[in-house]
Amino acid sequence: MRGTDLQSRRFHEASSTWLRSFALDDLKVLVVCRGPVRQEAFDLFDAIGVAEYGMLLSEKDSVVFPRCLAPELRSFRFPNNVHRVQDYMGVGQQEKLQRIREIVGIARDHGYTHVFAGYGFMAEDAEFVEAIEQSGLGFMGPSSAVIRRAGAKDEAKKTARGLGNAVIPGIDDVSPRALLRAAGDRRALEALASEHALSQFAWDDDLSLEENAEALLQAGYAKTVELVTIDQLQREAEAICEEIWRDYPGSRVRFKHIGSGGGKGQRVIGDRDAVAAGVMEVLAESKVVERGSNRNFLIELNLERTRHNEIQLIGNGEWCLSLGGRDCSVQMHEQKLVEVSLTQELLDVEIELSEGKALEILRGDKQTLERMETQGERFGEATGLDSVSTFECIVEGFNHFFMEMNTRIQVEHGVTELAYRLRFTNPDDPSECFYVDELIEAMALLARHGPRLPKPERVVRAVSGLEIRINATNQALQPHAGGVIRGWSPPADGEIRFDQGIGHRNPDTGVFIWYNLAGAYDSNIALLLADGATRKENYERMAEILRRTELRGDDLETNLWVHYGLIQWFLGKGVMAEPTTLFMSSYLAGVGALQQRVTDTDVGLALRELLAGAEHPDQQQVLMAKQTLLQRPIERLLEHPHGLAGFLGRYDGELWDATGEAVRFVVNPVRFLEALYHFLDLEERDGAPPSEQIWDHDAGILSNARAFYDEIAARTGATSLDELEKLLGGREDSRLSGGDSELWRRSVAAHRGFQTGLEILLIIPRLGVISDFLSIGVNEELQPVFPAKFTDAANAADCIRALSPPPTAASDEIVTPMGGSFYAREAPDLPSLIAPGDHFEAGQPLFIVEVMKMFNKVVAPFAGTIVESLMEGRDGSVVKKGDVIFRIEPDEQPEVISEEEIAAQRERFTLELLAAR
Amino acid sequence: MSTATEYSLENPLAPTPVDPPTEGAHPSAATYEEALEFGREMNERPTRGGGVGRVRVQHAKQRMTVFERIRVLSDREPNLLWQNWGPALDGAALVTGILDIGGRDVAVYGHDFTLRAGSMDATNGAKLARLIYMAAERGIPLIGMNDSAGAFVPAGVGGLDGYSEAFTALRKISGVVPSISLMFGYNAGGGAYLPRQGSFMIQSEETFIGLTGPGVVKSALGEDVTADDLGGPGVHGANGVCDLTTNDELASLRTAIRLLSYLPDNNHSLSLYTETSDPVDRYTEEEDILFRRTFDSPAGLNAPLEITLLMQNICDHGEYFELQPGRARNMITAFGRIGGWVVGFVANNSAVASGQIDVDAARKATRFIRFCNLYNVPLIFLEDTTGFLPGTEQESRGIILEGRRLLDAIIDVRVPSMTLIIRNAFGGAYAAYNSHFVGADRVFAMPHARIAVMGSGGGSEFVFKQELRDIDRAYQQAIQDGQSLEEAARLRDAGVAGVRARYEHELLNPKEALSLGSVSSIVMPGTSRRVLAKNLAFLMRTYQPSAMSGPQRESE
Repeated sequence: MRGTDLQSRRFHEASSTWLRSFALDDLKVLVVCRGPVRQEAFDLFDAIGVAEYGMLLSEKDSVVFPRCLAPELRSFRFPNNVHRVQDYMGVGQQEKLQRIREIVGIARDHGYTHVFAGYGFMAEDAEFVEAIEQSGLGFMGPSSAVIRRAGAKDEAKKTARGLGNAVIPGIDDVSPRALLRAAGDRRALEALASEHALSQFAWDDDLSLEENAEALLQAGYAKTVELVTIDQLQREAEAICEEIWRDYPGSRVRFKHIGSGGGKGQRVIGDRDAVAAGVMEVLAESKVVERGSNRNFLIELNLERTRHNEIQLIGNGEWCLSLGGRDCSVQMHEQKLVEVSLTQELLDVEIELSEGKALEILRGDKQTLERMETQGERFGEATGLDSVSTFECIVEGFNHFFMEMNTRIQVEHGVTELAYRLRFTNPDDPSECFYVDELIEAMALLARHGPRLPKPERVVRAVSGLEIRINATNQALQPHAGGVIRGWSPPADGEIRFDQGIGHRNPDTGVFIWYNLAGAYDSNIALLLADGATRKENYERMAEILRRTELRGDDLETNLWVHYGLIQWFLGKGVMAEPTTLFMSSYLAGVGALQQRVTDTDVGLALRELLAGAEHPDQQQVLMAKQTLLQRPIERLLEHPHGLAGFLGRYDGELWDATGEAVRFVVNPVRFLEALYHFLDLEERDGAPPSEQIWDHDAGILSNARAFYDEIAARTGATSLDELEKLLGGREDSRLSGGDSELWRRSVAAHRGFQTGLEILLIIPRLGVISDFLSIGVNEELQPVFPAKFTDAANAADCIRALSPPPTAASDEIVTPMGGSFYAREAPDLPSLIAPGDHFEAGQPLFIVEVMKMFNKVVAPFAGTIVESLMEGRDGSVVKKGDVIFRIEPDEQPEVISEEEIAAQRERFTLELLAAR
Repeated sequence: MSTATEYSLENPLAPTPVDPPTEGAHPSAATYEEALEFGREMNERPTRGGGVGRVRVQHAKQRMTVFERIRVLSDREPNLLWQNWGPALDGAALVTGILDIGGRDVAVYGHDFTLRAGSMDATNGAKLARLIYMAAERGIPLIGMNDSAGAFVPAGVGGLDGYSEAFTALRKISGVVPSISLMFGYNAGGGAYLPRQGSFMIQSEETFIGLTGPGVVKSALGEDVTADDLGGPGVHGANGVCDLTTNDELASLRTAIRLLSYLPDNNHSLSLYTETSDPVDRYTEEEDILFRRTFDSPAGLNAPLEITLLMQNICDHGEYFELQPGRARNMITAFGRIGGWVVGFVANNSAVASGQIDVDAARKATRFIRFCNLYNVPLIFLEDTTGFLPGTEQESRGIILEGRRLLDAIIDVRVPSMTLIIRNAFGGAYAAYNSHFVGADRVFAMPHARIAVMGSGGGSEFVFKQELRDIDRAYQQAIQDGQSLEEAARLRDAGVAGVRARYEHELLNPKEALSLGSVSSIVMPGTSRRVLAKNLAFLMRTYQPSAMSGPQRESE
């Protein structure tokens, strides 16, 4: 729960009659989604005094995985309001309809007044919302009419075009086109209707042929009758893609199911051979493979170098207000990672701080933002928006294109809550007003008192807001299921954390409850938010939060280090940089390239080499005394490629200069070492476990050195390495020694001692140079720039692979690189991708693993022939990373690199790294 | 720190500390000051261990010193005992004391690896024994932090005697106070046996436990093996030497604190009762869903069931603590809390090897049951097994011996114990597995429980011998009558299946057991927590914790 400086948030307790008229204490809300928003909603309901609330509990959150009981249950105030369902949504149309009936039944039987669906799939399902409305319940979210007008991706584009908004070139009616290709006129359509007894369909002369085809399809969906097969859709898609590629050669297209969201149900396709499979994947992920489901999807030009901006809208059907934008361009695998506020106030502040080209860019951005906000508000008004929604755009330069409207609250709504609050003023008495700080609260108000709510004003809360998503993924950002969280430090100062209640300790014993990230749903674990008076301060706060976060567990892999590295990288390279949606894959490639070199780096060997080269026995002794001081932080940094990347980005040019022939220190290397300890959160800290901070003897050396150089600076003003070398390498300087030549001698010895061995720190920037990671930068137009090898798809994939080494497998077997649910085929009625006896090429898909609702095709790492399938007939069963799926006969025996060769390569590279001056 | 002159790590520019005034002081004051200095030195010397050089070596291996480990266990000042014991007045490479861990007194020892590699001799053997005996006398649990190279070779036989004295002490307090042995570093020989004499053992990555290290193994047996493959946590987590394995020292120390929360202080008190905010009378619909999902599937009553899924729905706030999770998971042993009372679960897990009881499962359960029995921890048996696993492998490994041990351990149970029959309870396993007549205070059964002498295959052959003979006769006759082989076989198989179904329907149920009082009552799915909590509360209200007494039996 976030802190608040408001008057009592419980309207029913207010003294003012006007305020009391907005009371929410008669609400009984059923929350039908999961994810971080569930606990967030419960906490909010408690704060604003909602009478009661309830939740659905799925089998996967209770009886499918051990240690995976929904954490929200630990402190749930209404144990009798937990309603069991098989799942939160259904697979296929039939199941979905059944689930809708079930939820409506639960809500009515238990006297709920409202239903809240968070950002679940159901939240923007018009059928679901309509069923709720028809049953007399309130829906906390946009009404079904709004969803139909604004939410369905095909309808929305038509509306936007009508309002003169720029939209992306493409097609939004694949299904009707496919239908018309098979049944091209009125007679054929009518024949189909009577064949399937679709009596609701009647030819309407006022409508076009296409519109009539659409009407027939709708009649089919209502009766779950299949009028267009998947095969027909695939053929149609191929024809449409051909057309687009004729007009835009060399481009890629994006398939997007009309109900897709959160990156699921979308694919980017680059060539004809991939079209059919892409269609299948999009439909499977959107769970519309079942006969009679609405499978319509959009095909549009994929704009490659674009940013993803979105405008938060709120409205009551009469008025509509924009709450500024969010930039969500840092994303990977269609999953957003970092979301940052983009408001006019923020741009004003940043424009003040900028100069040159950056200033021009930011001024242009401000105009673009203003246009998006205006168009968003107009779109919201035109569609009668009666709750919150997001107007999603892609931005290329200063141009923006409307993409879609998300008619629900979004995961990243917290970013907007940090930026603005809402002030509602009594139209009859301007001295009376109240504030709303949270969008879910606004949704509750709109659901209960919508038409009576006056149009609010937005009031700036913080100039900058930032959210990062903590996900269960490996360092290459692929989902990793099955880890167990065993401990998580409590939220730091200024940290807002939505963690689904995972951090709620056992209420009886106060002990952290071990929680299994089984991967039944998506990979998101938690959302972390922070704000700041400038974007830089905002990033600094987030970096500090991440630096201090301790998240430990068993077989646990999260993207915490990815975020820490990214935030630090931006802090070093410029927080106003404008990454495109392709940024992350190129950045990952850069980190992968780093990792490839780290694998060959042996810090211990480098230290031994320095020791061997020590000329004086005293020097050797000092070096030995500094072994852990130096080796430990460097090794720890190298253990985390994303940490290394962040360190390089953050301190490039500040601690070292890598622009010349040789990398050199620009500060006293002692400061470098201090920065390293700080970066790794290994500083001395009371109460922290000794294994998680600098060893005491190392802290002693470091603090001696710090005090020594502070005193030198105070006496002589020398701070840089050059100045110090000049000072202590020359004749006795009485400013330092005060004429005491013994003190001078000891000072020289101390300087030598403190500096001994520190050159090993330079292997850190040298890794950045050799891997080309340090060539990644941000130009004066605020564009991140990459060496070509990180943007080249094939090479980038190669680099990224270094971040998730495949599980070890014998050369006669294929193992699964990830855990999840195994499928041999793309859909139940399709043949398996490969069968015993079949030959396969490298890169050919062999099977599918569903991890966290994403269907991952696993491709052959090399060519061979299937001998035996060990998972025959076991579709849907759970596999662990490294489980053997096929016995195979490889075409070529892979070359085995001996341990000696690996060791020799490490030695060679490490010495090279050390010697590069 | 370095005393080198050409290169130094001292700050010569630091303000020099002002020496205390000595001039003009009374001569006796100097003596007094000397005494104070001596006292300070005595108090400090043990904390320096083997000096900063040795500490650095310890740290270079990513290991904490014993004093640092103590700081993880408790942020309160430790009460260190006999810290100058030993001829060098340095504590003899062993730190002993009493820690306040979450408000409880806990006896703690830890080898100081920076001194003589934490090796054992007569001196620290005696010191260790004294701490161990003190723990038993005062009735407080013991945590041992083992990080010792073994016997101190220059001490000769004295080193061995030291071990013997410690062995004896730890064995003598076994069953008096519980103990947790944490395994750090490289522990061979006596250093491996001693900690295993305790109640629980936790090993972290990058450590070794074994009779002897890879070097000796190589020279004696010619086996080429890494320390990790010989005695790492992967080995000992799977063979039962270690009860828990962890990623690092920090995780081991924290796991020990977690484990400790379930243990009582000694053999005459109960584990800490913790009032719960999780209603004990809540209807647990999940239980019904779980059974429905499992038994309403195509495999029906033969479908495997991961029993921890039930445990997490029965326990307070879903929390349970599994021991030996790396081996024999056909038998789950775990601590949990029901209605605030700590309980020990002994549960057949049909998700692994059909939940049959084999040698490893029997050993695992036996050890756990004996522990709970000694320390007044009530037991809950979740029964779902078709029996002890037969076959040449098991017989040759002595299943009769191990199964018998399990049976005897159950018969010896004197703490409150309840059995909930989830599904299968056949034959010898039913009889042995905490049935009413081996001493269970309560036996409950789910309505779909299958309690019988035999499962449907063997059972039907025995009970419906005549019917099966008739079917076979009809089959032979049909062939003679010229019916096709295929058709005849189909009819025969259908007949056999019918007989089996009849057996399952008529005899695989809890009816007979209910009628004989062997099962106290049927528990409806969804009410296990309620029923177990209610009976547990009653049994605990009327139970007086006490030390075990009575005759010693011939075998464990």
